[in-house]
Amino acid sequence: MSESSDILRMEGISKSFGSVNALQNVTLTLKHGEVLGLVGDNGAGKSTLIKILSGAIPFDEGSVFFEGRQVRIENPQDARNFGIETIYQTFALVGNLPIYLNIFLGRYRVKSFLGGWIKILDNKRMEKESWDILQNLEIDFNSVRERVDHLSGGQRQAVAIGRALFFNPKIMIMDEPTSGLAVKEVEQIHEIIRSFKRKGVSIIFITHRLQSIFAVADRVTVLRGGQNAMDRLIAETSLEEVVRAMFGLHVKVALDE
Amino acid sequence: MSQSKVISRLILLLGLSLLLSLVSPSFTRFDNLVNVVRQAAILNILGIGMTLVILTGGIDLSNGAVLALSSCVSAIYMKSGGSFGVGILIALAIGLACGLINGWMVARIFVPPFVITYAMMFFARGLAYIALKGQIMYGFSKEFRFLGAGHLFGIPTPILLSGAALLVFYFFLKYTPFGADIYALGSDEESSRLSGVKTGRRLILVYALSGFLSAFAGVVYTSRLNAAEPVIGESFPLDAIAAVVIGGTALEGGQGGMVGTMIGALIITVIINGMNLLRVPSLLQSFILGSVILIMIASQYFSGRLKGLPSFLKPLAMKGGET
Amino acid sequence: MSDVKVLLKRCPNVIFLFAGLVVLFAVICPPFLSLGNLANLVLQGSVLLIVSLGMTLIMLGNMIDLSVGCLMSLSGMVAAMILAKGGGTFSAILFGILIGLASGLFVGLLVAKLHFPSFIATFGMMGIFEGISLFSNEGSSVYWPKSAFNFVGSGMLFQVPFPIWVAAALFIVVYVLLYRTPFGANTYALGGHEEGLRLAGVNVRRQKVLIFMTSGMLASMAGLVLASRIASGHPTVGIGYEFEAIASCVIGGTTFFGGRGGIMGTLFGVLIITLLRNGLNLMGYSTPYQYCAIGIILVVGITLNSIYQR
Repeated sequence: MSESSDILRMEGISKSFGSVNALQNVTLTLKHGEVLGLVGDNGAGKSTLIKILSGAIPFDEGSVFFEGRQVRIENPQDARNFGIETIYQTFALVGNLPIYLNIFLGRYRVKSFLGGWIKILDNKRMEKESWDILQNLEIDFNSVRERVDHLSGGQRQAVAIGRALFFNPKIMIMDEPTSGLAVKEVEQIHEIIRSFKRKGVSIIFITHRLQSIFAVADRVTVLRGGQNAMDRLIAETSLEEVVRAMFGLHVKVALDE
Repeated sequence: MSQSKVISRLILLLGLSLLLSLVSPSFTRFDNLVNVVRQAAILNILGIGMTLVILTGGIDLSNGAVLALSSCVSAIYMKSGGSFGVGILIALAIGLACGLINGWMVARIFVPPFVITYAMMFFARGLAYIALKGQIMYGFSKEFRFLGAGHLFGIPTPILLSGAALLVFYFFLKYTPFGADIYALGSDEESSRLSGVKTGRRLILVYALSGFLSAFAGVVYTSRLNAAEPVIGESFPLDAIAAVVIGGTALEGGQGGMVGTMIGALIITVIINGMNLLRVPSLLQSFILGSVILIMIASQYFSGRLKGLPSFLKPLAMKGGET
Repeated sequence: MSDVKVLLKRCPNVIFLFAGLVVLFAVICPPFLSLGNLANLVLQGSVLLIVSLGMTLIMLGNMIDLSVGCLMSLSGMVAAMILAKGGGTFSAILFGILIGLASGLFVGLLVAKLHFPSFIATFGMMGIFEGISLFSNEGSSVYWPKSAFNFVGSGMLFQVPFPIWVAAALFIVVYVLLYRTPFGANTYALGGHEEGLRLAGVNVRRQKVLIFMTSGMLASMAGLVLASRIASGHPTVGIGYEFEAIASCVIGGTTFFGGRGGIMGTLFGVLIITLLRNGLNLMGYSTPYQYCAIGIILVVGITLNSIYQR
């Protein structure tokens, strides 16, 4: 468990919103090629932590180390530049824009003129590349020019995943990827996570479905009340232990499957 | 913007013009029509800035006041012996500065756009009064007057300048990352931000451009009137919003475009021109204009395009307010 | 929770700003602190306070009303014309207030039922009211023969000018309305989480209409007091009040960040604006300077509030 195999280390992270302490001195580590499950009750701070990592919000105290070096992630673009891609629970897609622009939102393919002074959108290239990514995900689309708000939930998730995947991330963050999905679709997500892992992507995913953690994750980090509660290899822990760490109670878990 | 929307507005414009030509024969006189297009040109320049701002889901109420301030200050400079070139630069710089302040307050301090532009309106207008101390400046150099009153190849310069501005900004809005970012930001600011769009910078830029264009319009306007005084432009925010709304750009942001605004500016100018020719008292004119805007918005709503409060009225969420 | 405590917690900067400005003007311009001037200041602020109370309700509900200034002029004109034609004080006041209620109803419906953005709807109404006010007497003021109505603006009760009584009474009424009734709680909730309120079963549309009607009524009352003070119905007297009302609310901490703020803050905001204008006036700076200063203080106030609230 040497530190050099850590692709990511967040240390001593604290964040408050006014008088609410969302995170207090939280640590999170992620190893190369590892799938980490981040769990906790509502309000435990999981969303806040990954939003800090993805550059969406700033933190008050702490440091972030990426591949051993300390880094500053001050906005979503910074995170992307480091190879950290995020799939938010709401997908963060812009409804009345077409699929291909959503895929390349904020980092459009351009053709430069006048020595870089004028950049023109290269729609053709974006359309083609978008089409290719989505084909690989094996979801049906009519056209990448379709507006995102005309798509079904599953198609939208595919766009969000495709977007994250396209830019060859080193770290992929997934916030509640299985929420609202049927059992078969949940298994599809598990497969997608496994395929990312095979590609060498390190993954952090937040979920309330603890079964998912035990299905695909290598390790689990539990937050409770804005603080670290547990950090264990999946192989060395149990559902009961995780739940107990989440709620801090002595509970007997009745597994209803 | 979709073809059908543009066409429907062109039809509206032609219909109005036809109606007016029947009711008031002097409407179709050549010099009147040229006048209309020339007036519309100035409104169009303002409309370009307002379109950009409204596309991001905001508003700029200060354009008239910034126009007045920038032209008054540059007038003082030019009347005290300064060159017209520097005078123009001063005006543009003031417009840019006011716009930057607006943009910065909106993007970094999260002040609702209409609060800050409303405050800027009072502030800039007050400064304009203070600067001129109640006088009117008139009688500028020939070179300066060329911008508003001159002709090039037989076309009045305001029309050329406005056309050039339209082309430039149409291009940037439709074909560059800047444009894509603006539409994204206006449709869904938070999603855009999370996806890596530099929303803060774009907002600041958009308001800065609006201020800059207000000053630019001011230069043309002052040049045309050959006079500068603090009261000018009081109706411009409303006129510009009207042009944008009539032109089809939705107030909630994220939809619309420059071409529509241009047609909207023409429509507004035709309406105002018509009201003048028909000798409608000016008190009634703002009433009519206001009603036209309300009707256009109502029709936007009923055609299903305006679904809720425009973004500039939604509470701007504190960064990461949830856990 | 006691509103004063909330005020102290939420925006101490309002009190500091107020105190700071008092000290500043006392130093720069000694006549400022004279009893006569201070009394005058409170009197001047009373009209603004009345209209700002309404604006506070509206802004708490995440809306805006740009038409209150012109509504004030219109109410004044209506009352003046009734008095000029021989009508009694009672009917003048009644119709003046009815105009406010009617306007509030109309705008409220535009916003709540037709989903007009409140900014656009009230911007339009502003133009309409201005137009009507100017049109009704060809742009000139309306005067009336001596009437009991004059007492509203110029009379004294126990040595205190009547407008101050009106303002104080309305302040108490709105205080109770806002902090002790479901209407008030719903207003706060509307600003914070409109959707949540709707899902909780509250008739959000009706709430918005009621808010606009209350604000309209307050604006028209302010307009009546003002008309009585200047002893005439003036078609553009109210212009600018909407800006000052918004500024008062915003400086006082009522912004758009989820239904925060309250009328205590607005009270201080009104005092700040009024003392700013009063002080600058004493120093010889005319209205343009005053408006510039208000603009600056507004921006400063917002920045301070937003920094503190983070």
